[in-house]
Amino acid sequence: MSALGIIFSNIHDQIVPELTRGRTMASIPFGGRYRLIDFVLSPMVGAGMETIGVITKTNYQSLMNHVGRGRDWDLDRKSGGLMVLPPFGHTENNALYNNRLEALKGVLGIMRKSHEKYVVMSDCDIIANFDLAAAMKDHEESGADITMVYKKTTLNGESRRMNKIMQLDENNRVIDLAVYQGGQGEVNLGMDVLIIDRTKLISVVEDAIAHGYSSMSREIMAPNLDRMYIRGYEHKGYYCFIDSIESYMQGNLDLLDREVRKELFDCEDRPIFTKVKDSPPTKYGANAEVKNSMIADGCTIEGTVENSILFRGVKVGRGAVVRNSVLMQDVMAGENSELNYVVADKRVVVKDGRNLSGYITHPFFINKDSLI
Amino acid sequence: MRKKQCVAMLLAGGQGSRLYALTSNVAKPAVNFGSKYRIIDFPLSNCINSGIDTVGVLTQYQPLELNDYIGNGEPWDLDRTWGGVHVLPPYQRSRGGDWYKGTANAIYQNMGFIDRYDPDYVLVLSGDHIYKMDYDKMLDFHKKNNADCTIAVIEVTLQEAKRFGIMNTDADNRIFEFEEKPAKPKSTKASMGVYIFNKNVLFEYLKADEEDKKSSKDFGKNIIPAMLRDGKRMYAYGFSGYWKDVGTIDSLWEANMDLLGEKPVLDLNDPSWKIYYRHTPENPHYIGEDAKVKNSALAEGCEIDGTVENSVLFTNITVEKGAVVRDSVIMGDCVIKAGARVEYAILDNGVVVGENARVGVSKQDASGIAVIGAGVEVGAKTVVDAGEMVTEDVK
Repeated sequence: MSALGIIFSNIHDQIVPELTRGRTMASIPFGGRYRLIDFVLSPMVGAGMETIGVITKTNYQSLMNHVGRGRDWDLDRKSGGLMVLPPFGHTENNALYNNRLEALKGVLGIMRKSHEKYVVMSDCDIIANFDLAAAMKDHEESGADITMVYKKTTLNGESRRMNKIMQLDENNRVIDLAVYQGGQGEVNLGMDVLIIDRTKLISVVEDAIAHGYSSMSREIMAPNLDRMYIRGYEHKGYYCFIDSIESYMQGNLDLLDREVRKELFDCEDRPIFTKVKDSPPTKYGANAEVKNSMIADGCTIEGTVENSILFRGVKVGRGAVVRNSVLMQDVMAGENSELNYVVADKRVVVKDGRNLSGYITHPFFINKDSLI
Repeated sequence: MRKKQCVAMLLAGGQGSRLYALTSNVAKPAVNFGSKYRIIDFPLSNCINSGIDTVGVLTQYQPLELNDYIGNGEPWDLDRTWGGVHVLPPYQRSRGGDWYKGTANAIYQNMGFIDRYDPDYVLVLSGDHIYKMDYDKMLDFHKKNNADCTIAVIEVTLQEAKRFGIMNTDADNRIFEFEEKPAKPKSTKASMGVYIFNKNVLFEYLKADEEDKKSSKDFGKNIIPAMLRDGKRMYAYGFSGYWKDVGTIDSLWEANMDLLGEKPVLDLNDPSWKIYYRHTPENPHYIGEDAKVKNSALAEGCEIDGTVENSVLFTNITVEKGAVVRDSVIMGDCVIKAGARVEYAILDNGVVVGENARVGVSKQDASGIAVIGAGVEVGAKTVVDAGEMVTEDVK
């Protein structure tokens, strides 16, 4: 079963401004060596998809740098493969797209030219390793027009993203679809992963242009649930949305849970791929004290690290204490420095003896390349 | 005709019989080293870092894993439309065909490959050494001396010199004598197994050597002595960095340990001279609540809940609660179960050490390094003594 992948790399950029200052949502570093797009690309590759377009809008240098020609995901192909799709200048209005429908309009040509039967669309703000092959099989067998992957979860009303809350009948048909910010209690939360017939999607987009629609879920799907067969497919494993610096921190720290690591990384047929860097092994010094932490390659650890996520090439100096923190690539924690509930972006240098602290609900964020 | 200035020929066909269990299924250059690497990553990375982008890899013994590993050469940036890395096994010709009879014969059989690039120089390397070396500097030295052949040498002690091929040179580094493992060494310049030849001179001697029925078709035994006899311009290029022959269990263990410490003798965290390797997708490693990790190197995918000290761990190693790994080299996908102790040992890929089992004894009391072959299961409470070599499951 063949499907064309379409990934929206910029949707939701504005809800985590700290992390997307110089990058797309898709290229936010996560989990020691990944970027968010890895958790979309890898399940797609795992489901056998070979043609994937990544729609970009702004700030996409870091994304281009990360994915390159797609080699690390086995997507450098003569036909198909990975295509980064920067905004295409429209003659009628020079503005960049503002929503998924406008973005899709910009890639109608690619959709028309491709020969895949289905299209799988996804945003880039979820950490999960979903079984897309099973979802696609379910979609095909059910004969649904659209399948939305969802997660049964409990919301606390604090979510900053536009959530899609679905109600399903006993056959998993969506009978109600509401889109709003926040949401509370036990819900079926749409994960913004959609499976749809390619030709159907083309006509939906054309129709939307004709009617001036701007929201696929609100203006096309929700009002037509009786005419369109929209189906839910439950993702049972781990998931986490990145919709704030707090959820970013929490999502990272979730990886310290063995079960979470299993659900994300121990799927034999769909490993999470990422750009490789040929980092040397991580070295622990004679005085290293490391507990409950996830540590990528190329680190040098001489001090104490607890409950933290260290990306590639992080240095923790002698006597330094790093707790409950996320230190991105090449961060240096100087000798006798102390970091607690800190999210340090790439190449931050914390000089010897400096002391920084946030709290779980208010992590202390340090911009890329800062010197403290 | 397009040409390359220098083509490298990497001799990777050796069995490495002194590594015993570690090379029963793979050629020596494919043996794991330093948490992430295989031995062959070093010469291949040295080539690309030295600006040499055309490399022939001569394979013969157990080539499957090595072939897979090299693939199209992409990890070393050696996937080229013109040049790049080529695996060169022995082959059949219209008139006969033969296994590689020696190092010189292996190159002789692949003169056609070399000629495709019409190089002025041929760099001959071996796949059993760990070192970081800029071959381009050696080539400059070779050209400056207007040499026919340049041999890289490293200073060893007079005592060690008895184990090496020793170059006796004059004040200008010109070699006048070569002695293989001399009982009474006259110099401390040991050959590193790195040669640069002028292509035409090399071909001339390879052809002559092939005609010689008594020759053992070996660079050290035949080609170099013959060139010396003829008074060819042969120079010794002094190299002063880290270099280690990892041809024995002891030296392989030592070289792994050389990565450890604050100022390691062998620094792989060197952005100016990266060692490249083929990747497997693994998540960052996890150090648990009760774990103790000191003076060690770890790769990705490990889950450590026990104690790891003075050790080098490859990808995907599980060290369960209460287990201890000390002074050891643990290769990929091994599991050290709860309460087990592994001391002064080398475990090949996929070894399982059962609960409360013991492999090796503490380094100061050990008579030798315990070695467990690939995929071996050591049963619960089983004891494998110091210096033992285990290749089948033990209970």
